[in-house]
Amino acid sequence: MASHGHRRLATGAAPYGWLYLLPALAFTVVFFVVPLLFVLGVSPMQWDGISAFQFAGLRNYIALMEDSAFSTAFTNTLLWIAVGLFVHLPLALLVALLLSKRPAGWRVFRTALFVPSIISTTALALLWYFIFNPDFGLVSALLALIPLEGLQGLRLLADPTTALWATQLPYVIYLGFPMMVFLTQISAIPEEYFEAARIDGAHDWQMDLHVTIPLVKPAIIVNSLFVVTYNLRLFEYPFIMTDGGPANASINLSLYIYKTMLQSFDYGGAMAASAATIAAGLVIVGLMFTVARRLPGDTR
Amino acid sequence: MRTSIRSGVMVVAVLFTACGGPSASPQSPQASQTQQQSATPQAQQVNLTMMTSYGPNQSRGVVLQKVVDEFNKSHEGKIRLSLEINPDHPGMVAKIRTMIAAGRPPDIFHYNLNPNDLAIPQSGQLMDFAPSMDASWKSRFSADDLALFTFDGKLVSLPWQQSPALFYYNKALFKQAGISQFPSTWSELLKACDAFKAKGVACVSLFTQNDAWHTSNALTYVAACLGGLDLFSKPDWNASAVADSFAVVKQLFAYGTADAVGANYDVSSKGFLLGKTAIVIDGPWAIDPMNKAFTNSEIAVARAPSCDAAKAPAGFITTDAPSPMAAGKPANKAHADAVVEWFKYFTSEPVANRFAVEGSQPTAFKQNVKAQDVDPLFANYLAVSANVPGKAISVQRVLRPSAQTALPAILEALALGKVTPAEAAKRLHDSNTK
Repeated sequence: MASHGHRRLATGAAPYGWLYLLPALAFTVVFFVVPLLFVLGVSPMQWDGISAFQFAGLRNYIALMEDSAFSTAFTNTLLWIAVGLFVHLPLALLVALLLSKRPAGWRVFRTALFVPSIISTTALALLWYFIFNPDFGLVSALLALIPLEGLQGLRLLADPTTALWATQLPYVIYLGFPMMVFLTQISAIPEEYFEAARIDGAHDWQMDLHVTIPLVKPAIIVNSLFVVTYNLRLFEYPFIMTDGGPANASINLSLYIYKTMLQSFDYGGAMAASAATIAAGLVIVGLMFTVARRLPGDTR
Repeated sequence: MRTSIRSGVMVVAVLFTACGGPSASPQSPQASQTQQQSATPQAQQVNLTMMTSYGPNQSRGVVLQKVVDEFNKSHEGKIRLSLEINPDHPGMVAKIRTMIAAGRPPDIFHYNLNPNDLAIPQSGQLMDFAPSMDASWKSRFSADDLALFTFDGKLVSLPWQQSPALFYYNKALFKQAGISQFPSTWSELLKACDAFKAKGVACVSLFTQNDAWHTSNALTYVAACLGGLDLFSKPDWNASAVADSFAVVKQLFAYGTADAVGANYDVSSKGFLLGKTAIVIDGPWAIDPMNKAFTNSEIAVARAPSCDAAKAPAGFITTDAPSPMAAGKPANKAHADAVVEWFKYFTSEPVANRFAVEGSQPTAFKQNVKAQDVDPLFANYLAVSANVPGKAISVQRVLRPSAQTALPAILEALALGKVTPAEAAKRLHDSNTK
């Protein structure tokens, strides 16, 4: 006679399965829910980190709306996300499509493109800070070879019109990680799809456009999520390369929160900015999922 | 069934173990001190840690280490002091604030006193030195300094230093530009900047990142001259004086190095050391690297220029913030006695004189040295900063933290022409009254 437990197993319900979820649940509560509640709880407070809390109501949020540095940081963060989605990812996809055809030396290129992904972002930001140095940087040396007045001694990181783009350049070109995600998805596409397309007379670029890209939609969604979450958290490039300057031209939300909390000692204001960042992230991710559901393509 | 229950119990046990117990959390020095003493009642030695930003690359850091070593030697078995060096001063202060917020203040540390941010001295977690301040020890300090660090009748910090920021200038570059003596007014200084520019030399070392120290000093000298020594202490600034000061600073940027915008202290200082700029407004810690880069006769210290319709007395100086020493509330009497013992040693005349002679560092407690005993450039520095008719603290040190954070962006916007001097003054005022 089957025991009660065996009967439940037979219907597919795992007994005591919730016990196995406990570690993940505890981790989520301790490292996500509790800090989130702390952020929301401190955001309406006036607190310098040492003195007692003083309730300030919506004052911190109103101050955010009136602070031009916050609106610049918010806009710049959206620009980082846009550059990630519409420049960084398409470049990664293009490189993945090229490498998937396995040209000569493709393994070397794949490794070389992936290596920066495993190097600390801090180290990369420092590297590019020196690359952009107008006195001895690589960019200056290369521009000096071009006989055009105005290019010599260009201070890309100290010019408010170029500082933001200069800090984004290393992020754009270090596309190893999304490239690998795309390559993995491309390698999972059954060969029969390409054979059928070849039989129908499709060229390589037509196969890429009508077969490969639709079938890597899951990878596009995953990479897009990574881009959004990464750029909402991004700190090293603006902090090390420009400290958010000049005149806040390259500041983003993470750096704004850092400065508000650890330089202005305005913990309440920093938490309000954090809450705004979380809200923005939820909206953006929600929009992404809505758009993704409506796009044609394989949703496996 | 039994296997499932056992598995579940193991999972829960692992969870509680991973969360950790009391031994997993870091202990404060006081807590570890108390544990050590309670665990070994016969142990006499009190261990103290002092947080400092004075590293071995600075002469005052070398002197501090020597003083600590000698103190430890003379108190062997009774008191042992260790230095925890964090050369990044803002980073060190942030760590101190976090430790105080966590209820675990450092044993001993130094910080900058900002009258608009008294969170540290008023935290209630600092040791009160008043009961230990006997007449002999009190005589080492000025009454004004002791009053500055007394809150609610408690002396929560001890005067350590309040370094003047003075005008160091490169005599060779001045001679090259045909200027025979340091300008006595700001109008003359701006004309001198013209002469430097003609020779391909920048006028004053400036930078905008972090605390914009050099630029803040220039701004303070002009603003105090135009608006009075206590200009930035008042809630309503003299708007026109501050705006006029920003106008002068904007001109100085135009005469400065091309990399001033976005530069940090290192870049700005090196500009002077490499002969790219003729003047730098800095504290006594700049003397060490200057002595390495120049011979004694190449650099001199000058009195600040005056201005038309000056509201500050001629010869006034700008200083850093009062930078006191403090100690976390002691765990027990032995700890408190050890801290007092250290501070009495540290503020004694022989140690104070060592800082002057070997470290080129003035202290707020009395030093008794002759000019011939100290570095010649430091002697020049002391002569200019002695018996001055008034002092103004550098503006960056007296702003509210929100304005301190906003200042670099305001200076950059000013230098780049994105805001007018009047707008810059308004932005700074608004961020200071947020």
